[in-house]
Amino acid sequence: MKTIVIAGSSVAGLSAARELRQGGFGGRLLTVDRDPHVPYRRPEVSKGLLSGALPAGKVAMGWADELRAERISGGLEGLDLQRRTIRGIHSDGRPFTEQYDGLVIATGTMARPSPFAKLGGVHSLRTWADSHNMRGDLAEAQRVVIVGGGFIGLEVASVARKLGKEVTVIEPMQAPLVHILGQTFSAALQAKHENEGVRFVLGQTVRELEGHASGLIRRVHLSNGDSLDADVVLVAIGSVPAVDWLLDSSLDVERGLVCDTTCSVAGTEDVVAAGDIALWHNPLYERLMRVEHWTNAVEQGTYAAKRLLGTHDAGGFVSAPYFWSEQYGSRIQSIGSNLGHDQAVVLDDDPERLFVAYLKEGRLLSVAGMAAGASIFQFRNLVLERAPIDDVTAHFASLRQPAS
Amino acid sequence: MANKTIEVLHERCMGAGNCVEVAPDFFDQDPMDGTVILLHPQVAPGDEAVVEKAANVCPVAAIILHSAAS
Amino acid sequence: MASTNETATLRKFPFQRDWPLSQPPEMAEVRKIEPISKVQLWDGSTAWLATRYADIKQLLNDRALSSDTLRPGFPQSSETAASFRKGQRVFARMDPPQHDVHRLMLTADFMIRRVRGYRPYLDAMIDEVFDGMEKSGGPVDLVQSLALPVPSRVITKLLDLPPEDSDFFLDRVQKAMSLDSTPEESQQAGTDTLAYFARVIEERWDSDADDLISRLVRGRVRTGELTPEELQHMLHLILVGGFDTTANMIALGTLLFLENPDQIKKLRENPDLVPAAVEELLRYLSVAHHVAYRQAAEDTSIGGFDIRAGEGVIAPIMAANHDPEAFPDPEKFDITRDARGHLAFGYGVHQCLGQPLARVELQAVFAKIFDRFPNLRLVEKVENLEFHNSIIYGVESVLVDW
Repeated sequence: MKTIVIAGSSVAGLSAARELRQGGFGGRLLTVDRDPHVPYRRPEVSKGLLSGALPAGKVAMGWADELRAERISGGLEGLDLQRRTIRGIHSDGRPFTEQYDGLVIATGTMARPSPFAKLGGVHSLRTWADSHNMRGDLAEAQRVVIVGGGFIGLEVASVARKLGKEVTVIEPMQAPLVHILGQTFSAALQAKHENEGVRFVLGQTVRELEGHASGLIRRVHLSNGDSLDADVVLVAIGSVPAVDWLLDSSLDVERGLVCDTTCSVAGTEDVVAAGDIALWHNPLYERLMRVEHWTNAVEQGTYAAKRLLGTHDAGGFVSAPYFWSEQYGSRIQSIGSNLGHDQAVVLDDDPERLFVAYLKEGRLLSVAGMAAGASIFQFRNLVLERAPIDDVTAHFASLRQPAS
Repeated sequence: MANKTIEVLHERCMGAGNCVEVAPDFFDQDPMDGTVILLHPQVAPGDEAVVEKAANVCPVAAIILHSAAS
Repeated sequence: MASTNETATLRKFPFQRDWPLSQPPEMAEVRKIEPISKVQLWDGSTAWLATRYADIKQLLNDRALSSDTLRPGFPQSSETAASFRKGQRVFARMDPPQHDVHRLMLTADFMIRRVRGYRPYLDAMIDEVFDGMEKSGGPVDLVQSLALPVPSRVITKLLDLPPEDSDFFLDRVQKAMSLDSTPEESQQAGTDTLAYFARVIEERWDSDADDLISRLVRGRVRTGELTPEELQHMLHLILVGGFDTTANMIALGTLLFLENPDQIKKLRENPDLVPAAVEELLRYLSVAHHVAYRQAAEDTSIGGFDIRAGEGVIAPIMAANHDPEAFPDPEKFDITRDARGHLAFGYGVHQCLGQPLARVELQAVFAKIFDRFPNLRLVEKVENLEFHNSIIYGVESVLVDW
């Protein structure tokens, strides 16, 4: 291969580039991204960057000069699989077309667009710039309304409470994150937030956002007719894969970019995908899945590069995805995906040290823990093995016992 | 394949002359005020690079190179 | 309040140059880590700083950004710069549409075709200057002998002014722009020059001569399109814009070549490289290092960051010209690269009016200097040279021998 193009310069793209160079690829490496700050520690967008606790130097990452990557700053517009070209527009407006021999698609996701009126003080969070813009408004705000009780919504709730703001979270389900973490975890998280002074409005959606004559947000109107005054609103209603530029390409992109077990994009040769955008067939769970977490982006970026070079594990990208969230200084972590679980075993019911194992047909799918620290990684092998429940409880007991 | 064509947004022109510097076969300056005169709107494939460069160095982005389809 | 915490951790701008001939190291670092950020200025105010070529280009062409230095809160690089710029009432400090009307009164005089007509005059003048250098014998100060005389003679010719007045101009321009001048000194120097031009305008009030000043008096001032004061300021701008900018390019350019003898060799072996070499000098040296300050007149954005009306925006040409994404290996002085597209003359409606004139002067000088003085060398170490602390970067003196 003479030229490999990496679409998307955040951590999946960066990991792919590193693996390509390490794996001996000496040809031209070209990356494209529209965000001027990539790569950076994106998880900090809703944490340290938003709160101001982390200085820019600690959030930024760099593309090392040794990677010898040519970097295009601009947006992608199309992919021509026949001609093996990508086309786009530089940020200064000039169009570009580039030929590739190999292509890594790592354009990630975007925040699901707000369906509401565009008003000052209404934000969504995905990029460094979003975080900076919201931080500016947060400083002067008193009442913060968060639409969406997912991980981003809850993290921002904790940042805003720490800043002394009045925080309300509006969530359509009856409990925040219940479909991701199950009843026990969800209840514990909700209680934690409520103890910190966050108010939840559950089972409601937002009907509309009302602004002042000046164009600034004034009030949030709920589906049941109630309304809340607001100075800042975060619209955290999920994310969508960044596939707009692929819509004319004949690829299946409805729920993400479909790939096989080896992260090779279905229907292509020499095109792989990694990170938030990749809907790949995970041999561990024998189904298509898309993982929007940091560690997956790193691992999958690396694997996808190997796939291009032909040095990949033929068994496919087997992954028990790791995830973490920080709220009120406490870490929630999980390994694996609990989609389709029929059993949730609470191994520690202390709300500060909650630990839950999710199983399907008696075999482990994933674990989630509050303040579990590094010990959660001890369960990784059990998740990879799809271990039976007895092994899981035994392992848990041995961890929590003092060494004899 | 049909040639690309040049469009000039004359109202933006500040008479800098960068386009003349780069692509004198395609651009000249009006002696009255130095603003742009488009000499040849049609661009053969071999000339695309130089006209793109001219568009790129125009300080007010007044030069647009249209592909044949549009 | 969050804002006080913010200013405590902001970088101070402008950044300092470390090695005199290259970009401040902090610029490269900031471009890598936080290409769009807020910085703190001399008076404690904050402004946006863009450091990537693409973003700087976009900002300089953004109609939401104003160049009107009279706006309250307009960002400046220093107290002297603030004083200097507030004293200017000229199209460089105006926004469209008034800016366009004034600028277009001058564009015909600076057209490429017209300005290239000066080449024979320049060639003869430069030969004469070199004859003078040879006659007096080395070592000579290149700044006094070559760098200052060339643009000063060109301007006095362009404006048809007595050549003996060029010392006066030199002194006043340098005082006006030096960051070592107090604001009062800078202002006085500006006032002196304006008074000079007021006299010239009066002298040429009834003239039917063809020089630029007479034509403008006749065609614009007496018609009421321009006030005499506005013309004074325009002439001052032409002086300021074309004098020590070009002089510093000649001095620093020669210095840069002397530090890179392989490039001199390439230039002499292939004289067709002269135009490319001049573009590379412009890119590399970026002498206008305290220009491109703006204030948002309306809300706008860059790279996703919201810029509110009233906020200051700095889009340094030096940062754009040393962005590795636009110019690979930017710290390498390489006359064979294609440096066109550099932003040494700025970008947007305010892009330097005199750039064709600057180019023809620089091309004339660099086409000849190393052929005429093949053994040109610096008599002192570069580290010992004194570099200007000024709105336009430059060097006090460059002693050479051959």
